[in-house]
Amino acid sequence: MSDRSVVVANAGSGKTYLLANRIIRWMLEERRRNGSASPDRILAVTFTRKAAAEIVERILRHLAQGAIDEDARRKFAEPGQVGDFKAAEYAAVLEEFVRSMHRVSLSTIDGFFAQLARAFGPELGLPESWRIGDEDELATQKVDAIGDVIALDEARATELARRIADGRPKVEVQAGIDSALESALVLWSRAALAGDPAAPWARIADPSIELFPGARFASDERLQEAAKLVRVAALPTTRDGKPRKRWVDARERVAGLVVDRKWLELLKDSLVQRVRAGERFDGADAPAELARPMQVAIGHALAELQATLRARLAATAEMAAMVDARVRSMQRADGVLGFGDIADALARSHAIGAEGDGGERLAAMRERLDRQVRDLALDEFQDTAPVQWTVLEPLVDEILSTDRRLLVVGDPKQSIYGWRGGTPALLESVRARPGLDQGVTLDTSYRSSPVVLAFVDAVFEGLPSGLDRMPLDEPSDGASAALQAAGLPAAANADRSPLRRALEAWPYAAHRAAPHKASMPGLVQAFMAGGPRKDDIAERVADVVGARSAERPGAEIAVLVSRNSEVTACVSALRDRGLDVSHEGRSPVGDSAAAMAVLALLRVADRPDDSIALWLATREPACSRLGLVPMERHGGGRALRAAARELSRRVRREVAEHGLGPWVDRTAALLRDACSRHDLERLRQLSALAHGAEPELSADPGRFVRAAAERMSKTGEQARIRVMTVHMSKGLEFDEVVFASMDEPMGQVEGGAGQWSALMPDPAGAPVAIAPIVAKEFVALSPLLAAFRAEAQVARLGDDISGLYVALTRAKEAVHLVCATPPKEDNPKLTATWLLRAAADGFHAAFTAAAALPGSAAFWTFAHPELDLGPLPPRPLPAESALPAAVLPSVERVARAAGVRAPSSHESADGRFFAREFEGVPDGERGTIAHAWFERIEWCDGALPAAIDERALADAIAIEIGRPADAALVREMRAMVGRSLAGPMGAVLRRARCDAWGCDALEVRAEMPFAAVIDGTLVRGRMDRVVLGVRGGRVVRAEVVDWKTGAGALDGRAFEERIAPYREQMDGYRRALCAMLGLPAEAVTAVLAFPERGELVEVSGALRS
Amino acid sequence: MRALARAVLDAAPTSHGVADASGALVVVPASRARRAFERHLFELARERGVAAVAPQVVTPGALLTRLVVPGGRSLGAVGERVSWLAAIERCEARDVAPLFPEASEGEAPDERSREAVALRISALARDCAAAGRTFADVAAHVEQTMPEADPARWRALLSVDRERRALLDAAGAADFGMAAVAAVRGGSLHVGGIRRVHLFLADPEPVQRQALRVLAARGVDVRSMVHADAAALPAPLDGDGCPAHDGWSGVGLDVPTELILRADTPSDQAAAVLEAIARVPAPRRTNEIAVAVPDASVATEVSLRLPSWGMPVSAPPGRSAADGPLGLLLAAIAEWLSSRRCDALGALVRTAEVEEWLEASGASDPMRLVSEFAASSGARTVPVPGAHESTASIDELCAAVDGLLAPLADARAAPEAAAALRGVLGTLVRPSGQAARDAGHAALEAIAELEALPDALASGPTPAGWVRAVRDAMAGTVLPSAGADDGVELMGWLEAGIDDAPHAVLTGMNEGVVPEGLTIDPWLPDSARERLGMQCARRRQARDAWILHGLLHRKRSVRLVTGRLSAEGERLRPSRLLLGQRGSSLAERVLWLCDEDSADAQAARWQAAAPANGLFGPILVPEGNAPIDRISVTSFRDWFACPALFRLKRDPRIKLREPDGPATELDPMGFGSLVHAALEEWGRDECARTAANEPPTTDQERIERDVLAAFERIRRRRFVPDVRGTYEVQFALAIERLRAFARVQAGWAGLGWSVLDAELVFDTYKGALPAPLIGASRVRLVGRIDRVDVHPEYGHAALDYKTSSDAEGPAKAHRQGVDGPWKDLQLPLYRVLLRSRGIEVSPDRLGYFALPSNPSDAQVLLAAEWDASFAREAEAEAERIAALVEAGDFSGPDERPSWQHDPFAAVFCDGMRGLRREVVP
Ligand code: SF4
Repeated sequence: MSDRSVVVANAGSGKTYLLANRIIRWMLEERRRNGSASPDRILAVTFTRKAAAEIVERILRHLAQGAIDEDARRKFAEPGQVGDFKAAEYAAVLEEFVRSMHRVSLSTIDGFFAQLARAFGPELGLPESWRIGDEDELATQKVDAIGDVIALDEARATELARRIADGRPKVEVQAGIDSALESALVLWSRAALAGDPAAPWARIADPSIELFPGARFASDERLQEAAKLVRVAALPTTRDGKPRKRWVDARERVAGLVVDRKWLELLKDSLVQRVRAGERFDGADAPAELARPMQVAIGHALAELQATLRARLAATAEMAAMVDARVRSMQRADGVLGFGDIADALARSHAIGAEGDGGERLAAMRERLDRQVRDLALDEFQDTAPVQWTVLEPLVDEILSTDRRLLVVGDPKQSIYGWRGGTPALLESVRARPGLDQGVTLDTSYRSSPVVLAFVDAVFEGLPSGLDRMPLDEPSDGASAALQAAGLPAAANADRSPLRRALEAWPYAAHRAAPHKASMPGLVQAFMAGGPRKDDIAERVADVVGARSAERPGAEIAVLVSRNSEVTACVSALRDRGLDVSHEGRSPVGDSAAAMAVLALLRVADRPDDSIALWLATREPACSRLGLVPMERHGGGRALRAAARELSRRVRREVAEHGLGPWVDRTAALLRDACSRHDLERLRQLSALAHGAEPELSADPGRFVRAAAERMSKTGEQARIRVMTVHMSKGLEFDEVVFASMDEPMGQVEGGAGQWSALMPDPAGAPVAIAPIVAKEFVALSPLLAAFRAEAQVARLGDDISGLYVALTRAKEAVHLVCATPPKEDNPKLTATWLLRAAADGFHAAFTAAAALPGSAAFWTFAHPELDLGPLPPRPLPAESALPAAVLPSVERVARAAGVRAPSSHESADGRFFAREFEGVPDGERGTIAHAWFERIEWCDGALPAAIDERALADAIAIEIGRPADAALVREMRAMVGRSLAGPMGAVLRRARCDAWGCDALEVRAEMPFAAVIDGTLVRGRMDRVVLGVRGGRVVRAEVVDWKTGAGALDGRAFEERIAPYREQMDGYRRALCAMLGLPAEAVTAVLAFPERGELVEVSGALRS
Repeated sequence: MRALARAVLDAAPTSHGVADASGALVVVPASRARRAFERHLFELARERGVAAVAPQVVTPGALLTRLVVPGGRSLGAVGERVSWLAAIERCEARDVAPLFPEASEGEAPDERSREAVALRISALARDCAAAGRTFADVAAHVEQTMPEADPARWRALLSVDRERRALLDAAGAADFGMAAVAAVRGGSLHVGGIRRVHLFLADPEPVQRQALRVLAARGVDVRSMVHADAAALPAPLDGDGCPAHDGWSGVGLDVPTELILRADTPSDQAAAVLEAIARVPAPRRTNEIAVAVPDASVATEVSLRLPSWGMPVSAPPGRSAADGPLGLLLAAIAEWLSSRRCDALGALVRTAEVEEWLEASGASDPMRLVSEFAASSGARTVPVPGAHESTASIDELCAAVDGLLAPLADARAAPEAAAALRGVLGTLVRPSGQAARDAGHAALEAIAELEALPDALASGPTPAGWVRAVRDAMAGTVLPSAGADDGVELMGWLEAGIDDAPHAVLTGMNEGVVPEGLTIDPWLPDSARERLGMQCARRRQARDAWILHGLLHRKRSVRLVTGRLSAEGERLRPSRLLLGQRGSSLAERVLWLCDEDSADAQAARWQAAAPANGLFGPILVPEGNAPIDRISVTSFRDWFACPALFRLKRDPRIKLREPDGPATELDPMGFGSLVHAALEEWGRDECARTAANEPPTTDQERIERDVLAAFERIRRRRFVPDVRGTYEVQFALAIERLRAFARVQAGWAGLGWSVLDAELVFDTYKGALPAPLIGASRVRLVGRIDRVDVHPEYGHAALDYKTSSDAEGPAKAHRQGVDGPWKDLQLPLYRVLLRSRGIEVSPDRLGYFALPSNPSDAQVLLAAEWDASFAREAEAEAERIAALVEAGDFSGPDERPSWQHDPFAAVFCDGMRGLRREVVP
């Protein structure tokens, strides 16, 4: 294999193994070549975070094995894998890989694109603070955009709304347009990539293209006339000559529809359909005198329908253009986008380049992403959407034009994301590039028993010929002619049935069993449910799973279904049997009543008048645990409303106080003992959502509830029996698989407003023409629209058949199919059951027999002449699964030290917090300056000392107040301080004052920082001035002085009030000094000094607590 | 910390038993470390029998403010933001265009985008200053080394920077970061009384390092504290005595395997914490164990699970004050000031503070008033009170709010805004509890700064802009979170690095958590940041390696927990820090960590598995008597759909109903009632004519004129004048239907039918017509009849206007098939109501006046096929139901309808099976 290859990998064929090994090879080679593996120069993208993480883990593990395990090295040396390298080389690369793990880009495509968008924000016109929006936000954004478009020109909007809805506009205009535009906007974006997005919409709206052969408007008079003629036309008669009853009724009906101008109903009428097709009605041909006027009416009806559809096309395109533009400009303005929008913006702006730009953009990418992409690996390529490919293509081209490495891995058979834009045909178009090693197919399954593989092969290889025997799908005769007549390109196989076309889109390569699995037994069998309904199937699934898990308790069994609602049904049926199952469907978190109760409470917070939420929140077991009163207890009316408001406010307060996440946690904790495992899982998810929500949502619980309730998430719980959708099962494997969606219709397309089919001859390109999907009844009326409908079916079938392939190939050992009982009229239709009836040997006969004689035992078992590998061995539970319970380690609860307090901050937590706190603020600066002066005086002899460095003083003040102090003010304070020294201020600074202490020495500390632990609390601060008296080498006496400026103008009473808290502060200082110096309270005194007032207040005596 | 305290004390000159450390400056990483240091210092001094005069202790952020003498007024958070904003505004629009890629040509970016950019720039400016660089330095570097990296943006930035300098000069203000860079470069630091610096930091910023070097040059003794002998360190220290980035970012610590616990899910990580605690030698004390929970999902698991397993924990620090109640209130105020949007009023009223204040000022149920107005008026923004009939319901409330905020709304300059804001908050907020007070202080600080802004900066933003500035400035304050204070303490990674507890459990040892993941910076890629000496991945890695080394070295015990699955079930990578080995031991470690079949901790060991079925039942079907004494003719439809739900909707104590959402358009009900209202007004006039013995109006034009005039009146009464565009479209559709009505009505009248009565209401309240009893029950039949017509030949007809999209006939709407199950009883019960007034209507004269979405389908649909026996059956059914209701029997058929996509789905937890009955007393 060369190092630029496309690999098609069958299910279970070791795709991740290959991918990891290839990347390892690239690193090892690079190291040999350049001395460094530079793992950060490899970009690998895949679709899920899970897959991305798995690749990394594989790389780590393989590198480690390569470094120490010779057998592993030998395996890795096999062709196509790593190659021949030495242990030391593996070890060195492992080291390098580990060191730069944070720079290694093995990520999801969404993640990679989001990085690109961060780097290219300006080019994409994104604001500085753009982010990925949640679904709720994005939906709101779109609806708002529609609202804005409507507001631009209401008359036009009314007209368009009418046309989009074929003359029956919905009352909810915005919502109506929104749903009608849903798929149209996707097509619009896609067409925009290729240039003119409006062109494909205009294509068949062109009047020169006849959608309905025979469409012809008739004048009112002619129509009246025709109705009249119909009414009097002679009819086929019974044997006794009377007109036949069915004919009489039909004639009346038809005439009435013409008079009432009910054209759609007319075209659906059974008589009309027969007459138009030239068929007999009620066993007789229509007499000419009836048929002729009917043809007039039919022609008119067709013309009306044609006009309606053209109007719908044109109006949809016009509306899509406006909404698209508006959405984009809103995204730019708000900076809120979805992942799809990012890909779109990157593609439209050719962020990393386009043909012929000389690689500049790629160079910019290197700069901005801070990373050089040398080698590229693209995983799950069949799921890549054209818009994503548009972004990646320049990078691929660049790689192909140099000697760098590329690996593209995919499997069209596993493409189940067509509805999301995944286009498996892209794989073909990449494969066709020159310079790429092509056509490598990994067909060895390392997963399944040969029995399972043989069964899968039998189904998919047997299908084409099976379809000859069993008419499951009608060919689209005339499709290519109709397309060509309209000047449109037709696929080579356009005339074949959609099912065949879908199968032809994935060349099937038979599976080979890996050598070590060649003798592994396997089992494939089918069961029939007790009835046709979802619940009947679920019951049978439970029978089968119950039996299997009794027989093989250690086996991992997955029940796979196509839809989430089926997951729920199966889980309930299984749990009813007491089986331990995990529910792994993607469903709303609210599928747990416990989570619902929490959400309901938040909803009440948002809307106290939401009685539904109040009801839910106040049910048991939540009600009593949350301390609520059942709503009905209030007796309704005013009392109920008041109680609801009360509760609402309580929750809002709590949420604002704690934040959403912590609030959810607290609430969940109260519910915990009443919860099932599933409830707990959901509560945890809810908690994660709440913790991850924007903080703003704490103020908008309603929005959180909407976002959370819609968020579909799967649970991470995992039991041995797991129930999930086929989509979720992708990438997983199980010992046994029970497939329970055998009878879900496949390839279903819906007709009607908002449903479109696009003709895309180049799967990577843009649609060339878009047509409405018409209802089944009208297919016969328009070969062209029939051809378009078939296109849509092909796409849908591609997904559905891939789904079946994915489901069957998840099994290692056994597949169990559960079919519904067939209806009375057991006509062929597109379901998995019917595909098997067509393709698998003996299935049809066994099925028919079982339908006649239902029972719970398997009605069919897959048998293979060469594969008799014996029965599946029993599988006991592994021994380690019974865990010994642990014993809680004993701990002593010790409170942590309380926080910090500063004596100078007094709390003002009551009433007028905001207003009061600021009294006296302007004084701060004066105080600081005064303090600075006093600080610099050690002892005073009545005047300001001369030796003060006023420059340093100014600097210190500036640092303290955060700006240079006003020079005049500094002078003023200097004067004030100087003046005050003549009076009591001077006295307090005089050495003589301390003579009375009888100390050997005195020490002065100015602005003394302190920290003391008092009653467990750390008290810290600074004291303006502390005088310490030393006797016998120890401090025996202390006095703290605190300068208080700004009280100059207060009168006596106000002054007293002001100093009350200061006394407390002084006691705080004294207490700290006592603690630090180990002195009794009497030995520590304090003085409050008010220089402007010339007043001293002494604080001494016992300490107040 | 104790070692640091010892070092400080040792170095402090001591005399007379007083160790004076006041000449020392101690730099510690965070206030948590500061507290620990001070405690140790105090205790150590006591142990030594001396008194310690504390040193100055600062966190790195405050270090330079001690040393740099400001040349002008230093700006705080508010000032910084405002100055960048003002600078952006002063620039030529085209110069700054590259900063606003989202704005279309010639369009000025709005205030919010300017704020976002200002915040971004100011963060960048701080980063640059921390690296000791100016914008010009960085721009030059980018230009030279990264030609592809969008130089236009840097040029724009430079012009903004230039304008800002000019602005600050004019205002006599200074950017502290820049001033610090200049002071450090010029060596002009204020040493004050500092004689020693003790540095306890893993990674000081370059500008801090430079400053310390200046101090050292000026004779200050600068010492760096490290947790081990340099010889014992696996990588060298740099010249500043700090771990060298080069060496430490590549350091491979050989963490012993026995210290590592492998856990799968986040809940298993929680279990691992217990396992780790169990391995702490007894006696274990909660205050001696610190648990790092750097990963949010693990933090949640640990704080939820440990207490339930019996281990008390104290919550990690809470949120930013900007996101606390006060911050959210400010956000709501700002939003309302800037937009007057309905939803902004809703948000404002929803804050408990405003709601309470409004109620105290006499408004009753303000939230409901606002949501009803938003749902029904079609208004996007709230008009000035009193301007229009349609706002009558909220005028008073709106005036109150406007009055409260008037001083703020009128404030132009910053001091006014500050005073006004203080007034508003003073009125609304009564902080209680430590968190609220902390938030209050943060707000006050910001408001004070606002008040003191230099004149040159004090104008520009709108009032809302000022409020946002205050809120954003609060972001730096972290509110304490509630929780037990005697539990094992949970903290972040950095805190754990400086925490003092002797035992540490470190969870979340995974890539992207520890060390943190790479982030893409569109301005400066990581490699450029690295070259410029700014914070970057390599520095973070060096720091984390240093922290881990320190923890392993200092603690009595350390356990490291690494997870293998995220909360979403994705695989996690082990942290690089656990992969420090080389060669084969690295390979062994990798395989050991990846070994899926063994884990060292499992949540399941600590708790009995939760039961598969808990107490939460999927369906609550209420049983028991309901005091329902009246049933309306239209509600039988609900009964047929689901008796239990019927009960919940009708029980007067419960009355479940779907609340109106915030409307962007009318829903079908609202639309119907609008059309109905016009028809009712028209009908009343027409009744009057009938009463006056005039013949029915058959003139289509006149009918149309009258009914449209009625519509116009209603529209004015109910909707604001500048209603949303969608409403206009809906009005057009309504008018279309009324036109169709006029056409059909003219034809109908032409057949000889006159309107006898419009809107007959039968009910138990005053003013309504008396409601008859249903059969022998004590339950009354209530309801309203849109129209009763009379014809000289055919007698009476009772009609119901129908505005649903499709024109379905009465027969189909009432019963499945000819004698299948009932779906509705409305029309047949009209006869019962009318009979009570002595009006007898033949069953085939009951019908719909259908006005469907396709106007040409409008018609009168009479139930031609109904006869007396049908009517009898219908009445008997109604009587049967009334009897069941009276008996409290609301059990329905077994087959449950699906409520999916129905607001009531939740009531039955649709999508689950199983049934539980609940008795409603
Ligand atoms: S069984 Fe279901 S549908 Fe029927 S009444 Fe009860 S809750 Fe309603």
